[in-house]
Order: sequence, then C-alpha cells, then structure tokens
Amino acid sequence: MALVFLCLGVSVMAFVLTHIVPNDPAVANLGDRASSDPVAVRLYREHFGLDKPLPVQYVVYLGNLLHGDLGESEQSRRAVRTDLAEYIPATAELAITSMVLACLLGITLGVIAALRRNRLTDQVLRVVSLGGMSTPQFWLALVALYVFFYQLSWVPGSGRLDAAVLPPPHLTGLFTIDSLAAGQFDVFVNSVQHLILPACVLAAFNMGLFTRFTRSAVLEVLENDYVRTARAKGLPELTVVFRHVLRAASPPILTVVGLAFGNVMTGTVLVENIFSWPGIGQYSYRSATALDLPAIVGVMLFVAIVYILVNMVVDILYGVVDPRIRLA
Amino acid sequence: MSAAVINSNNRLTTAWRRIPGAWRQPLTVVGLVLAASWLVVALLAPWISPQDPLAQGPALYQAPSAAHLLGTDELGRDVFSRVLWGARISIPLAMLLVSLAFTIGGTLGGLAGYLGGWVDEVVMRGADFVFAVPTILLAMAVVAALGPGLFHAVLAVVLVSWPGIARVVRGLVRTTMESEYVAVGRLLGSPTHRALTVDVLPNVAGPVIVLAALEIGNAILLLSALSFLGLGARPPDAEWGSMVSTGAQHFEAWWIGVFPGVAIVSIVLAFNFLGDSLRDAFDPKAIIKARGA
Amino acid sequence: MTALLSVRDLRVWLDTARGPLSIVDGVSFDIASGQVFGLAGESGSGKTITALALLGLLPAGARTDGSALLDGTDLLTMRGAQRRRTRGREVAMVFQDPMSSLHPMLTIERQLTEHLRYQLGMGGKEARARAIDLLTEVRIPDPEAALRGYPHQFSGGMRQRIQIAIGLACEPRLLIADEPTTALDVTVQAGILRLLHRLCQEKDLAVMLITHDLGVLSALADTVTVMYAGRIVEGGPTAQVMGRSRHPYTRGLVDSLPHPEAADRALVPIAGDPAGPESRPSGCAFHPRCRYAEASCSTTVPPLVRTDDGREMACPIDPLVATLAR
Repeated sequence: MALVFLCLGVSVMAFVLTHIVPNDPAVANLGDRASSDPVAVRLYREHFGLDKPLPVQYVVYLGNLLHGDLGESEQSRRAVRTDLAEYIPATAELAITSMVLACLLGITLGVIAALRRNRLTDQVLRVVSLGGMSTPQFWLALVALYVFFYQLSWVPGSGRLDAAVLPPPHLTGLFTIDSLAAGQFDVFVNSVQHLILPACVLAAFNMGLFTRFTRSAVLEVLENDYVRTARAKGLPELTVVFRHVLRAASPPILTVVGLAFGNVMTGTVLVENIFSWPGIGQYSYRSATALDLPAIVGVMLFVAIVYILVNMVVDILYGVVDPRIRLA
Repeated sequence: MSAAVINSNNRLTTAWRRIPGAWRQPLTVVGLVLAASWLVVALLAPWISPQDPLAQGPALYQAPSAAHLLGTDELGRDVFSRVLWGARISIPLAMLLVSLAFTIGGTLGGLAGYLGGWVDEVVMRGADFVFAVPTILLAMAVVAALGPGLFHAVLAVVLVSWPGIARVVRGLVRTTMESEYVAVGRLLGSPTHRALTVDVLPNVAGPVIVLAALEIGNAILLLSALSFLGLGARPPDAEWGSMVSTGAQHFEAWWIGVFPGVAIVSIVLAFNFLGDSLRDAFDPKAIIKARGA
Repeated sequence: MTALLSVRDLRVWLDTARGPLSIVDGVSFDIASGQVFGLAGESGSGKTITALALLGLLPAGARTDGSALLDGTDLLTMRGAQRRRTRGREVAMVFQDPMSSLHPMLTIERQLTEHLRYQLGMGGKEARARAIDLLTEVRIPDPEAALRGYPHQFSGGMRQRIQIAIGLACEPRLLIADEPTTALDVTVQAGILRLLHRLCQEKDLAVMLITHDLGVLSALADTVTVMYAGRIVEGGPTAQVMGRSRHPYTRGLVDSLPHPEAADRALVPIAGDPAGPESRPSGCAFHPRCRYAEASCSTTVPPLVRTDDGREMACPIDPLVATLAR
C-alpha cells in the first residue's frame, strides 16, 4: 500500500518536474535542422503525446504504467522498459559489489574504532572514514583511473569486459555470476578486473558512513550491563563483540545501510560515466541531458521502488534481529 | 522549581557544556583551521592569487613549478589561481544553499513536529518522495528541466536537501515536546511560547548546528558533482567540479584535475571534522535517531 | 575453616583527568566454601569495584594492587586464556539489574548454554539438557518453554533466577551476587535469597553477597563485612556484627534499620552524606559523620584490629564501651 502511494507520489513529482520545462524536448531530441522544421516538431509532439494538456498526459501515462508500460524513450526510440532491462543488471552488479565491500569494511572498521575508542587507532580510522565521506566520487574515480590504469596498468580502464571478450550467456545479466554459471573462468576473471576499481570507488563514501555509524552504535551497546555479563561468563572477546555487541548494535546499522542505497545510486551516475559502465546511471545522465522525459521518470520510478523494497527488507530484518519488535 | 531547573537534567542541554571538551580533539582543531583558512582564501582570493584565473597564458600544460605552483591548464591558465578563486564560488554558494535548505527544512520540520496532524503528514510524505529518489537524479532532472547553470544547480540541491533537515528538526521537536520536563513545565503552568523558547529551542539548536556543518560539506560535494557533469558551472568559470572535469580530458597533465579535487576534499573534510566532533559533544543518538526514524 | 578465596590488601585506583583516584583502599577478607559472605556498605563504598576486580572486569583505566588468592592462584594478575577460564568456571557473578544484565535479543537457551559449550566443550544436546536442569534448579516453571523465550518475556524475579542459573552453569566455586534483590519487589526478594542460601549449602558453594541492605544480610549471611569509603570498618560473624556492632558506622547502619520487635522505636538515620571517592576525608573517612569522633580521628587512619570477641574492627574508640560507660 505504502509502495503504491509512494510510486504515485514519485511519478507525479517526476512528471510535474519534467513537464514544466522551459526547454523543449522536441528541440533537444530532433537536432537543429529538424527542429526548425515545424512539421517535424508537430509530428514529434504528436508521437509522444506532448500536444495534449498536461493532466491528460499524466492520466495516459498512469494508465500505461498500470500495464507495466513505462512509455517510449524519446532518445533511443525504444520502450523505456527495454532500456531499463538492458542497463539494470550492469548497475546491479556494480552497486551490490560496492555495498558488500562497504558493509564488510565499514562495519569491521567501525567495531575496531569503538573498541579502541579515543586511542590512536580510533583517530586514524576517524580520518579514514571521514575522508571517504569527504572525497568527491568523480574525483576519486579519476585519480583511481589515473593511478591504477594510466600509470600502473593494473586494471582495464573502462566497460564491463575487454572489447575482445564476449559476454557470457545471459542468465542474470551479472557477468560475474553468468560467467561462473557457464564455466567461463577467463570471462569471470576479466569481469572482476573491470568491476573492482569502480566498485571500490563507489564503496568509499558508504564505507566511511558505515564506519561512523557502527562506531557510535557499538559504543552505545558497550555501555550495557549485558556486555559485562557476557564477559563474566568467560567468553572470548571476539565472541562477545560479534555475537553480543554487534547483534545489539545492528538495528541502527541496518537503518543506515538501507538509506545508503540512495548514495549508491548517486555514485553510480558519476562513476558509470567515468568508467563507461553501461548501466542506468549513465542512461539517466544521457536522458537528463537530452530531456528524455519518459526515460527520466522511468529511472526515477525504478530507483524509488528499489529504495522502498530495500527499506521493507530492512524492516523485516529488524524483526529477525530483535525479538521485541517481532512480538510487538 | 522552574522549568529551567528541570531542564538542566536533560542530556541535550548539558551537552552544550561539553563543547569545550570537543576542542581537545586534535581533529577539531585541524577542521577549524582548514575551514577558517578556506574562508580567508575565499575573501582574499583577488589579492593573494598570483594571476587572473581566466587569463590565458602562452605556457600550456606546464607541470607545477616555481612560476606556476600548481602548473597551468590546457589554455595556459594558472591552476593555483583558479583553485584559490574556486573558493569564491563554492563556499558562498554552499552557505547560501545550506541557509536556504535550513530555512525551508527547519520551518517545515518544526511546524510538522509542533503541530502534528495533517501538516506533519503532508510534510513528511513530501520528504519521503524526495528521499526515495537519489539526490543526484532529482538534481539532474531539475537542472535538465530548468537548463544548466550554477543558480539552477543551487536550487536543485536545495530541493533535495531540505527533507533531511526537516526530518531531524521534526524528530527533535517531537522528542522534546514529549519529554517529561516539558510536560512538567506545562503542569506548572508555563505558557507554550515559554516551552518553545526554553525547552525546545536549546535542544534543537545543538543538533541543528552539527547538521549544518555536515550539510555544508555535502552541499559542496553535490554542487561540484553537478558542475562536473556539466550541469552547474560552465567551463570558463573557475569552479572546482568543472575544473576536475576539464582535467579528465587531459590525463597526461594530471595537475589540472588533481588539485581542484584536493581543494574539495580539504574543505569538505574540514566541515566533516567539525561536525563529527560537535556531534560527539552533543547527544549522538538524537541525530542518528532523528535521521533513521 | 580454610578459606577458598583469600583477599589481601586489595587496592584499586581509577585513572582520571586529575590523576589516580583511590576507590578501594587496602581491603582484606576470606571467603569459605558453603558460606555466605556478606559485604555491606553504602553506594560508593567500593563494594562492587571489589567484586569486579576479582573477575578482572574493572573499567578501562583501573589499576589494582594486592592479591586475591583462589586456591592459591592470584585472580588479580591473571591474563588472557587463564582469566577467561576462571570467569564462569571458578568465579561467576550475578549482577544487580536483571532487566539490563541479560541480552535482550538472544534466547535464554543461547545465553544459558554458550559458556557451557565454550567453557566445558559440551555439545548442543548435552548443553540443552544441562540448561533444563539448571532452570529447574532455580525453580523456573516449564524450563523447556523458557529456553525458547527472550528476557523481556519474564518478570524481574524470573530474570534474576535465570541470571543465577547462568552464573551456576559451569559450576563455579564462588558466586558473587551484586545487589541481587535491590531491583526486585520485597516478596520476590525473599525467594531469591532462599534460593541463594539453598544453593550455597547444597553445592558447597561460596557466595559473596554484596548489598547495602543489612536486613538482607542478617537473614542470610554467615559473616558480614562492612565497607566505608573504600576500607573495611568492621567484619565478623553476622550475629556479632549485626547484634552487637562496635564500629560507629555499623551501629549507625543497624540503628537505621526497622526492627520488627520494636516497631515503635524511632529509626535513627546516620547524619550527613557518604563520602565519595573524590572527596574522602583524611584519617578515618567516617569521622565527619561520627558522633564519637575525637581530634585524632581526622589525622590517623585507624588500623583494622582483631578484637577479643573474634571480630575485626577499625575504630579505637569502641562505642560499645563508650556507651556503657556513659
């Protein structure tokens, strides 16, 4: 229910936002010569329904949306749904990899910082994590490319695979998984090589964010009596930290991880453009500059749905982690 | 017993007294010094930069040297001067943007928290919509719709950053209003405006200051990202994001893109250091909870 | 009577911004198996810190001196694996607040069996069977269902019983109970105290019962030791310390207790506030509140001496004599 409500809201917002444009999409998409031809402009407008009043356009759009039709991209002249289906797996592979990296690193470093509170390690980690949160991703991406590709040639520069390598047979669209499923180990290695740098760049911000949040959540839990109880039982410190402390600290960490999916999408727009990664980040940038309204609204809707789903999963996980919520 | 006495038991208010402790953190001092020096640079750039940031010289692609501390770019402009002048664009804009966002977000969030009911509902649902769409997508859509340009980019960033502030302010106002000392104050017959000024304001002000420090950093990041994408400042302007973008096309002359980025990192880091240590001084939970709720 | 635990001249300092702060200042006592050793005193007197020192659970920045020999092994100097083996298996502790001392998100089974598995190397089934035995022993109804439950589903008294079961799981020889009944209703208190007493006798367990409530000790403890401001002021068999207290502070504590057979007698509170670690008076720390105090009390620390009736006391004035002579 909330999902439907939010989708409606997002679609209205996106629709209004993109339709009050002083710029004319017809001009933007037809090019200079065609846009000076009134017939071409009129045909273009009729084709995309731009000649009708705005509310009518919206109702038509909503009607199509109910059938899963996101409209036709004014730029690629294909159904937005087809475009999205093509670009989503690439972004998914990048975003998921970077989130996993950010979670593993961020939570571990946050725990260490909390246990070493106010000592040198904590200060160093404070600089590292705040540094991650303060570095513009587009700049980090360029510096990483310059160092690891241009100077050291450790990784390939752009794209998901070398030009000479054929994509693995389509299964999930995630090249790493598909190539393993098909037993093409060389393709797997190649895709990991392409994936590693953009994923690390994308993970930097969230790694910092997770470190800060984990640190404060763990510090708060450490003050609790039950941590002392666990120690009094003679459990090893690692068990105390990971079973008792981290368990209790997990709800706020889960919250941030859920919210951080927004940061990842912001990052993908920049990182995908720099690494020529054929995902929806690049697609949405192209659509935005070309004023491709159906495509922009389509991407927004898709991302909003992902955001909502992720946060629903987070809500479910709260219950899994904390029995008091489960029963309430 | 007056409401003020009861108030002194409250954690947020006592946190004000812990601020001096924050200065013992070396990183707070680093942040303060960095931020202050950037402010000075922004004020004095016309007098301290060796050259006109837009003046094209004969020496193109010069590596950093004594003549050009940070080298020259593809049009022979002095990168050092351009980086210094960049502070005059990013810092005032970020401040303007954050004060706009705080005025809008603070007012809406405060009203939502204080009045509750349908006002709360409308404001928070609006915030939800904005939250559900990644900031840069929304900003890109706004800029694309209005046309590229620094001012439009600022408007776009304001549009995406008010909900975060509104949420925090709303959460703080609500928890303060629901707290026992406000209830006791009411029982003792203190009027509503007194509750607002004595109880709510001091409790909201601290975390909001922390948030402002962190928001300035985020605003600079987002603004420079839009400029990098060509949606904010346009090329001749000495804006850090678009300078990095220029540098991306001239890989062999790394100094063109690297130094403006270093400038962004240092100023954002400065505000994050400040915000982080202030947050430690204030109740860290208040902000986390208000943000996560 | 041979002592299981023998503490000698235990001192604890806490590092603060203004230098080290003495919390426990030279405490010595013995605890024997099968006996309840009562440690009494107001909050801030160092009782809990003494107990935490035995388990090595002092807060960061704390230093200890002296010795605490458990069967000849010093608890204070232990490190690493040896320390962990001692916790739970030799010395277990039950904390004051049963609401906050159990992990809110883990099942009772997990909290009751994890140290069985780790410390005693039990398998899942074995540990579970032992957990059921333990819950039965502390009189939890329907132990099997209780194992599946979470702390918030139990009442305060039940949670305290579960804490005791957790403490007993690895069959320690010394159980430290820190204010185990303070957070509970009076009716529930009695049950917990009876349980502790029974366990102590059945299992030949040494119990160190820490409380500010002398009434609790009079019913249960074999010996009572009274602490004030980090030092022991009086100690000995319960009947003597409670019935014929000789230290002015102990007398003050006893006089401030309601007496069942003399309900009409006025309760006499001790004047003044207890001295915290930051502001300990010189000499005998109790002298500003003591009605028998003499000039020398503020300059010299009275030594803890064994008296002719078999107790230890740290007061040169001996108010018992002083009152009789009056």
